[in-house]
Amino acid sequence: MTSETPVLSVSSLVKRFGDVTAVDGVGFELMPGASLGIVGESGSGKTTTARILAGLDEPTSGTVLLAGEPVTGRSRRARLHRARLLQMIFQDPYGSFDPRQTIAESVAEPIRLHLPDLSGADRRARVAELLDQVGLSERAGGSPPRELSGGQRQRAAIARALGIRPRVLVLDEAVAALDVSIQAQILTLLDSLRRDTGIAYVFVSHDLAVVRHITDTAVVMRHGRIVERGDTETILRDPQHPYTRLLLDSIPVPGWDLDRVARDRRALDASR
Amino acid sequence: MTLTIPALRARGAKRRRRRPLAVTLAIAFLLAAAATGALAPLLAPHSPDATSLLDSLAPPGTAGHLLGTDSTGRDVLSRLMYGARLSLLAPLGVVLLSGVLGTALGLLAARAGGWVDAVLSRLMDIVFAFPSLLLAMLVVAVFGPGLTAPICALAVSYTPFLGRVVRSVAIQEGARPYMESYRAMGFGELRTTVRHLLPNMTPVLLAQSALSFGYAMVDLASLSYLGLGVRPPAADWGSMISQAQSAILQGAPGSGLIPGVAVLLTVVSVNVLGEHIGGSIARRGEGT
Amino acid sequence: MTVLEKESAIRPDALGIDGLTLGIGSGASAVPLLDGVTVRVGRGETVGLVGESGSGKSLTARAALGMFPRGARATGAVTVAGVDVLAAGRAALRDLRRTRASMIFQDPRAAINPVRRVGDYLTEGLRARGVPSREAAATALELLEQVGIRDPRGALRRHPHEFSGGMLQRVVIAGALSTEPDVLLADEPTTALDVTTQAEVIALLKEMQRTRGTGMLFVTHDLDLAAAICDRVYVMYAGRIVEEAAGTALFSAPAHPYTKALLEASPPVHGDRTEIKAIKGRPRSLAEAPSGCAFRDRCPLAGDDCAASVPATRAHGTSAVACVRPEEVAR
Repeated sequence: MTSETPVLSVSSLVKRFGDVTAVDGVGFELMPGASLGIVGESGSGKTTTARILAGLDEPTSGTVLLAGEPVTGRSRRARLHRARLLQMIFQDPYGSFDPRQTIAESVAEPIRLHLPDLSGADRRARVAELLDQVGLSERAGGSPPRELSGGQRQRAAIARALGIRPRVLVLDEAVAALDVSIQAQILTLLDSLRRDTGIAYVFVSHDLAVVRHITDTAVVMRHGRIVERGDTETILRDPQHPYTRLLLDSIPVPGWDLDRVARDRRALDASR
Repeated sequence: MTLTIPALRARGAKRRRRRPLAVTLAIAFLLAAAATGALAPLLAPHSPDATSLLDSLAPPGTAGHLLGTDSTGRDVLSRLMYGARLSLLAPLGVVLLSGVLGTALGLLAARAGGWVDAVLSRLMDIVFAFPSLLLAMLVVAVFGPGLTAPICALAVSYTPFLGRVVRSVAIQEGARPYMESYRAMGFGELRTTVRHLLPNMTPVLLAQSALSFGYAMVDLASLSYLGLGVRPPAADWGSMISQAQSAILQGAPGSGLIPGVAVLLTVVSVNVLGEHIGGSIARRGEGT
Repeated sequence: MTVLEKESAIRPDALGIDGLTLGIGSGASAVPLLDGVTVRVGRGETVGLVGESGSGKSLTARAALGMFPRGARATGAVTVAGVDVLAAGRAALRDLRRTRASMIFQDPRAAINPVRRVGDYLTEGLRARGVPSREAAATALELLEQVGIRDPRGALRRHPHEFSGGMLQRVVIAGALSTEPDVLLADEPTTALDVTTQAEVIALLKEMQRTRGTGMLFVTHDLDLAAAICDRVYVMYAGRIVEEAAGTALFSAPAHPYTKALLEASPPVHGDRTEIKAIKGRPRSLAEAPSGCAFRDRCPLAGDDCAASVPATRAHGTSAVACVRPEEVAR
C-alpha cells in the first residue's frame, strides 16, 4: 500500500429512512493523517454520515473504502476489521461510558477485544500509556465515569478510541457539549495527537470556528447533500454557496449584522 | 448546565448513606427465617409431624408448645420452622426460573426488534392475560399435586411480568450512548448486551424479582391452602393456614394466624430489601 | 436625551441585583453558590451574563424571579421594576412573574406542556391576569404574527410537537412577551438551536425587545454571542462577577485575565488563523473555588497577593473588574 491510497474513501453514499433521504450522494476522500470537516446543521445528514462510517447504520447504497478495501456487512470479521481502522467519538461525554466500570476498565476493553493475545500486564501498561497520552491521571483512571468532569470524560473517550491504534477517528460534535475553556484543551489535545500519531480525523460539527481550527479540508452539507467542498480556509474566506454564506454570517461576531443574515437567507431561498 | 453543584454532590457521596431501619429489620427477619428453616432439625422442639390429639388446639404460650398446637396437636412452632424451608425455597424457585426466562426473552425482544420483538411481545401478552393461579391449578390437575408442577406453572405465568419490564428498560438503556460506542468499537450485540446492558439493569431486575417473590409466596400459599401444593404431612406456611381453617372457626385462631403473619412479614421484607438494593445500585451507577 | 433615557432616569431599573449572596445549608455543611453578585438591567437595555458551568449565571437569572434552589438562603437585594423580590410573599411573587418578569429557557420543548395547544399556552398568562378570553385570543394571534409564525390562526390550534425547535422558541418568546414584562430573562435561549436559526431568533428577540422597551438579561456561555448583541456584559466565574464591560470593549480590551483567557481559548472564524490557548484546569463552582481570587489557580498572572482576599471590583478603562492587576492583562 502506498501513501497515496486514501485511508478513507466514500462515494455516492445514500441513506434513506422510509421516505426520507437523510444522506444523498455523499462522497469524499481522506488521506492518511489528514483532517476533514463535515459541516452542517441538524437535518443536514452529517451525523448519519458519521454513523455509517462507524458501522452504526448501514447505507442504502454507496461504498465506504477503508485503506482501499470495501467494508460491508455486519459479520464479526467485518465489524472487527472496520473498528480496527476507524473509531468514533460521540458528542455526549456523560453517557459514553458504562457507568459501572472504571475509566481504566473501559479503556482496556477494546484492547482486550482487538488484541486478545496481549498479556494482562502489557494491556495495563498500554492503558496507563493511553491515559497519560490524553492527560488523565492514574487516579482518574481508577474512577467511575460519574466522578470525572465532562472534559475528562471526553479525554477518556479519546484514550479508549486510540487504544487499538485506528487510522481514522470520526468525531461527532465531540467538543460541542464542553465549556469553552475545556473545549480548547480537547482541541489542542487533538492537534498534538494528530501530529504525533498521524491519525486522520473526520470532524463532524456545526461550529465553523472549531472546524476551521481542526481541519484542512471540509464539506458543507445541507438536506443530505454536499453543497460546497474544498480547503477549509478557502471555504471560510470565500464561500461560494449561498448556504455557506448564511452559515458564516450567522456566527455572532463584534458588529454582528443581523440584516445581512436575513439577506443571506433570502438569497438562499431564491437560489432554490 | 449551570445549576450543577458538584461540591454538594461530592459531600453527599462522602457521607456514608445510613441504612434505613426498615431495611435492617427486613434483612434480620429474612436471615432469621432462612436460618430457622435450615437449622429446623436442631432448633425445633418437636417433630413437625408428631400428632398428639390430647394436646390439640393448645393456645400459644402453653408449656412445651410456645406457639400452641394445631387441631391434630402438632406443635405450631416446629411446623413453622420446618415450613420455612418450602415456603422460602419454592417462591425462590419461581423467581429464579421466571427471572431467567423473562430476562432472556425481554432482552431478546428488545435487542432483536422487528418481527422477533412483535411475536415475543404478543406471546407475553397472552400469557400475561392468563390468571397465574388458574394456570397453576390446571397444571396441577394434569400432573398431580406436588411442588414442581406449580412452581413451573407460576414461573411461566410470571415470565411476562418481568419480560415486559426487561424489554422496555433494555430498549431505553440500549439507546444510551455508551451502548452505541461499544458497537462502534467493534463489539458484538451479545457481548455488549451481557457485559454492559444486563448489569446496568440489575436494579430493575432486583426490584421486579422481589415483587414476584411476594406474589409467588402468596400464590403458592393459596395453592397449598387449596390443597394443590405440598402434600401433607409436609409442612409449609400455606398448608398450615389451610389446615387451621376449622380451628379458626372453633375459636383458636393461633395456628392459622401465626403462619399468616410469617407469610406477610416475609413478603414485606423481601420487597423492602429489593427496593433498597435496587435503589442503591441505581444511585451508584448514576451519571451527573 | 431620548424619551427612553429620560424615563429611565425617573423610573426604577428593570432589574437590580445588588450584592446577592446565596448559599445552601449552614455551618460546616454550608455550600456557597453566589457571592456578592451585582447586576443591573436598565429599561430597554440588553445585558449579557456570561460564564461557564458552575459560574452561577443561571442561578442569578432565576433569582430575579425569586426562584431559588431548595433550602437556599439569600442576602442582598433583588428588585424587579422597583419590587423587592427577596421580601415578596407568595402572592406577590406570583404577581411579579405574571406581570413584570418573564423567562425564556434553553429548551423550548421542555418549557411548553406538550399536550396543550399553542393557543392555550399563549392565552394562559393573559387569562391569569384577568384578560377576557376573547381579547386574550386576539392578543395571542397578534403575538404569533409578530414573531413571524406562518399561518398564526392555524398555529393557535396546533400542538408543540408540530413545530420545529426554532419556531417553538418563537412561540415561547411570544408567550414571554404577552404579559408586557419589564424584564425578560433569557437563559441560553438559542443554545439548543441551529446556528442559522439562532441568528433569526436573536434578530426577533432584539426587535421585540427594542419596540417594547423591555430590559433583557441574556444568560449565555457564548462570549461572542453576548458581546455581539449586548449593550453591557457581565462575566461570571465561580459565583462572582469578575468583569463588567460594554459589549464592544470586551473584545478589544478584556480587563480580567479570565475574560482574556476565554477569548484566546475560542478559535476565531474570521481574520487570521491564530493559535488557541487552552486554560488549564476546569471551571469551578464557588464551593470548590480557592480562597481569594477564585480564578487564581488557573490564571497565568496569579501571584501571592491574589490569595489574600477576594479582589474588590474597581474601574479599569471603561470596564469594572475584580482583579488586582488588570493593567497586566492587556499585554
